[in-house]
Amino acid sequence: MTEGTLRAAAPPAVHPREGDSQWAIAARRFRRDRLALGGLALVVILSALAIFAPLAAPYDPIAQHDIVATSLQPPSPAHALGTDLFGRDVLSRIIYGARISLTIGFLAVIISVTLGTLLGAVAGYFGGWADTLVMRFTDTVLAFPRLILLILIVALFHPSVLLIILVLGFTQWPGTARIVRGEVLSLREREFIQAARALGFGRARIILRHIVPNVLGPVIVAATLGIGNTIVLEAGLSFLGLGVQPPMPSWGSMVADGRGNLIGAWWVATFPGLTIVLTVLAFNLVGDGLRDALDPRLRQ
Amino acid sequence: MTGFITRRVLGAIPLLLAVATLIFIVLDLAPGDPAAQYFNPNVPPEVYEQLRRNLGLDQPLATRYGKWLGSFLTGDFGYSFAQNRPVANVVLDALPNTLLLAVVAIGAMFVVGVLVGVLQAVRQHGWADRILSVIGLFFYSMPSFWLALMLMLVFSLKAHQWGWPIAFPATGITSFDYEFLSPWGKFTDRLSHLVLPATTLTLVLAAGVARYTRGQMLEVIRQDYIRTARAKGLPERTVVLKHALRNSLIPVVTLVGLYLPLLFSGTVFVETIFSWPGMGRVIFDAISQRDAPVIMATSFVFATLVVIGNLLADVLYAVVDPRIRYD
Amino acid sequence: MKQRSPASAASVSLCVALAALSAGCGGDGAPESTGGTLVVGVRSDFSGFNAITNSSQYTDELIKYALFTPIVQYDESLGVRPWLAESWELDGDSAVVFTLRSDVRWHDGEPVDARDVAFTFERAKDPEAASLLAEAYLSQVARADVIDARTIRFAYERPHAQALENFWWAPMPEHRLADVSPAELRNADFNRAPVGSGPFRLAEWRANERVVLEAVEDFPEELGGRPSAERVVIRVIPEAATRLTELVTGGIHVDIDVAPDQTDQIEASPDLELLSFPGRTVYFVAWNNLREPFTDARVRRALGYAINREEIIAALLEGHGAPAVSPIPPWSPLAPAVEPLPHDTAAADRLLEEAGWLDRDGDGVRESENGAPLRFTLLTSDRALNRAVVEVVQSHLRRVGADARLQVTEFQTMLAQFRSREYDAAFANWVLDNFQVGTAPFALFHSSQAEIAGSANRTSYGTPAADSLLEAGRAAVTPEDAAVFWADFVRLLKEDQPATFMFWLDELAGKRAGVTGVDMDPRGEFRGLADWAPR
Repeated sequence: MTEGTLRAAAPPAVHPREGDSQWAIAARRFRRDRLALGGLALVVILSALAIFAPLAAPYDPIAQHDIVATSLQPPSPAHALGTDLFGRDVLSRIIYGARISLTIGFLAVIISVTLGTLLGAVAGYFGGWADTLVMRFTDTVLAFPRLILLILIVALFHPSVLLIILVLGFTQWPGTARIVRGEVLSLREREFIQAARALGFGRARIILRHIVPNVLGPVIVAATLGIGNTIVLEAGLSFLGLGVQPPMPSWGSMVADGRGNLIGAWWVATFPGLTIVLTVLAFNLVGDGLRDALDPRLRQ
Repeated sequence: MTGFITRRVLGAIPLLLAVATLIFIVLDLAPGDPAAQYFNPNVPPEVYEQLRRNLGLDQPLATRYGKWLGSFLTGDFGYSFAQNRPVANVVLDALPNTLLLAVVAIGAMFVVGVLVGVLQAVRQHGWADRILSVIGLFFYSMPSFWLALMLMLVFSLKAHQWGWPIAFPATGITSFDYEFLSPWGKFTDRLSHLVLPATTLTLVLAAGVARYTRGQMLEVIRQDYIRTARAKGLPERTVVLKHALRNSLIPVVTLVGLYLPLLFSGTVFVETIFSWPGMGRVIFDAISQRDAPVIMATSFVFATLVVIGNLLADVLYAVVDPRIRYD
Repeated sequence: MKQRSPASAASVSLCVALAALSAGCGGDGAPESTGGTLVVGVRSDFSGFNAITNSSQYTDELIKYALFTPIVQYDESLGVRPWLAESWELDGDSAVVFTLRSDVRWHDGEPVDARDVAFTFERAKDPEAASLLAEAYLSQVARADVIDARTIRFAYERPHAQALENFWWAPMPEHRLADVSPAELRNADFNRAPVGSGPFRLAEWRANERVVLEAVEDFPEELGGRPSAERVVIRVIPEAATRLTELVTGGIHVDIDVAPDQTDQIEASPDLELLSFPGRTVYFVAWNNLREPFTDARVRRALGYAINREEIIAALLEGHGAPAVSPIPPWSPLAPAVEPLPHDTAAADRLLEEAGWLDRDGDGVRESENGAPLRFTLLTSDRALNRAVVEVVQSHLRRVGADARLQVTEFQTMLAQFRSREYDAAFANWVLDNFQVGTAPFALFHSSQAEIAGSANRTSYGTPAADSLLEAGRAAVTPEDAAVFWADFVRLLKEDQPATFMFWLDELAGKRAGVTGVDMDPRGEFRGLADWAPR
């Protein structure tokens, strides 16, 4: 699938220097792209918060004290984002929640990207029945509303972090597979591949050493955008009660907890949701930036 | 064209069967028992066993699959375990509501998305473009359940509390005294109930449409024939609307195929939060209740709708783009 | 040449359109009573209106109070009084003869008579129908004999107290359901479009959206006569916040499903009134008595001491609950005067130490002599209240050195595990479906039930002492005798703690100030539906 970028500023033209690899060019273009850098900074901050959560969070996210006294406090100097039903600090729970969302996001995308790249490369390179088989399979998975399939599987079996990662990973790959297939199809007829074949290199070697490195660019873009998508889906599952077990905080389940009392205690649902938006926004900015940076058409 | 359509329809059938079989297997593998729902925990085991026998749950997998497939293909979708009435009725009651929501949302999504995308492309790098980019990306990154809750909070709950003039109902399709309204009253009543749910579905996906349209427009504007049109002295408006827009809209149509599953996924949240009695809610409730016949029928209907949507998009694409001929 | 930006023109027209839409209908509008229509909000849809096959609580209430006429009803003090039956005569202590009223008709004109009652009885007792009515009420009723059109005789299995309460169910029309086989009763079309005999008839049912009831003009005066409201619209609104908003804005007159954390708002509003009454649902933590460490009653009792019921009731229920000690509700006439287990962490510590559980490695969790930690899973379903309570319970147990791992699963999965006794500890609830004191304790704690797969005795508890008290209680002929046995039983239950009873949940509802006649009590929220009126 191809989509235009949403970003206002096209990355400034960069004149390639002698012997520059495409990565060096891309890196320089990315560096000059302010929005993408902003997104990257946000991603780094969030990751740091997730890793160093015990240091960053002002309170314990799980411990309960006198519930009656501390329950549902609005935002105040003591609790920047208020407290939830059990008197737990919302800000701290959001910080710890980053661990769940980012971990699940990264791991699921690693699975989907690996799977998608392999399947797409096989389909694109070999063509024929392999291509048809993989593409039909892709179509089947895509034909079904993904969230419903996720709900079905997770609801029917035990919700656990592992299951969620696996299910998310195993339903995300079609997008990557299509992109890779398209790239491989166009690469296949290029001279350097034909040369490799003429030289008698084995197919596996050609795929792994020559084709895959050249599709990495679009794959990385797809992966970054995929993380955002995965985080939203994981939040959706948690919202429906199909996420991690309490008392571990997850952004989606925090929104669900606050849903019954929107009028009286709006902060419980609003801030975790806002965090989801900002996190996904950050990844999308980085993904867009990478796409623009790696886009060969903007070369001048 | 008819050949193309027939081939696509025939090709879709194994796809749909595959989807249905997949769901059947998933349901079967799952722990938990449909009969468990239909008694309060007080019921003794003999009654429970009888219930299972009545529902045909005591037979082996192959038998059940065979029976189900047979009746499914002849249009008999069985009875809902939870609602104790024909599944066909469950689906028929809910489907129009979801279709209404989906059609309105798709229409709004494309209208808004295309307008915004064109505006951005025409005013590239201007302040409108930048602001709309950020806003668009913001909505694109938003989980629909949170957007639904926020819209409800601001435009329904708080709006009443603060006495705003603009407030929308947050539940159901019509008001309780719908029957007593005038025809015009009925129309506006339905429309006002549609606003919040449809907006939730639209905003997230419209941002995607805008992204894509902008990108397409920018590419098209760079083309030679646009430069020619300008060189010919045609007014800018004609150049934009008549030439660039038409050509860039063509691929935007393909987004329907991509976004349709997303739209239906979104209905699960939107219909529950806004008490909209549609298919999203039906399937979610059915999953919670392990209501296998309903789960399978609604999954099948969703997959069919996606296939039909894709087919319509492809046909539309062919109609709009004179270069394409399907034989 | 200045061009009008299309964007600004569009935004102006959009604003105008929005204003027109919302001004024409800000919310659902206040219910200027359109010919006496009452609007009620509920959380979920009903199931089929068939007394024989129904298993859902609100559907049951509509059957008993709105659409049909049960043989007997309860009055305010939970005594039994005649309803469809005009009078009754006890035939010794092993049978009862009912004389039915002659003025109750089915909504299609046919009279309600003894044949309908007998038909309902037969069908309910038929195993093919898998009827819950039979289990709830008829387990001690052996047979029914029609003596004439208005007279029917029921014979018991054996004499027992509270015998008349076996007849708190409504007969179904024989002439409408005789052709339906018992196995098909659950799916009968009748259930969605019933022909009833009560003060309301079902006018419309749009699935998952609303049910509309219409008043029956000529309902017998002695049974309440014509309902006050002309029309009752029951709207299905699953989202709690929206339901409350509808109540606030007047989109509904009565909100049946009010959550504890919404009570503040209702009480603060001058237009609204909070209704609260003791409910029929008790929540408890079930310990799997066959698994370590719960094989030891001291451990069970210790954990019972560790849980602070008062805090849970105050914080999560906003005070709308009563501490529980057994499955006998405190408001029942036969309720024994036994205090619930107090919150006593010192006693908990002491008992755990006595049972050999000490924190030997200083990690905050106790271990047994051979080093096994006091760690187990606490299972519950994903209902909001259950989730909240187990999070608090976990923290209470932590303070006495027990590590409870939470397992919150979707209701079906939880139920499956619970029924098959594949759990360590579970937080669950029990809804009383009748007011006969003995039903619940027997089902939950008699040893005979412990052997049966999938029975309600999920703790697998069963001792000779408990058994004899349970049997004596059920067999007692007078309420006074029964009360003595039940008191002893509850004391034994408190000592043995096969399950730790937590609280009875008050039922909460909200209504607009202008609605009259709404009076709820443990008999059910919809009990007085015929008296509710919008003004």
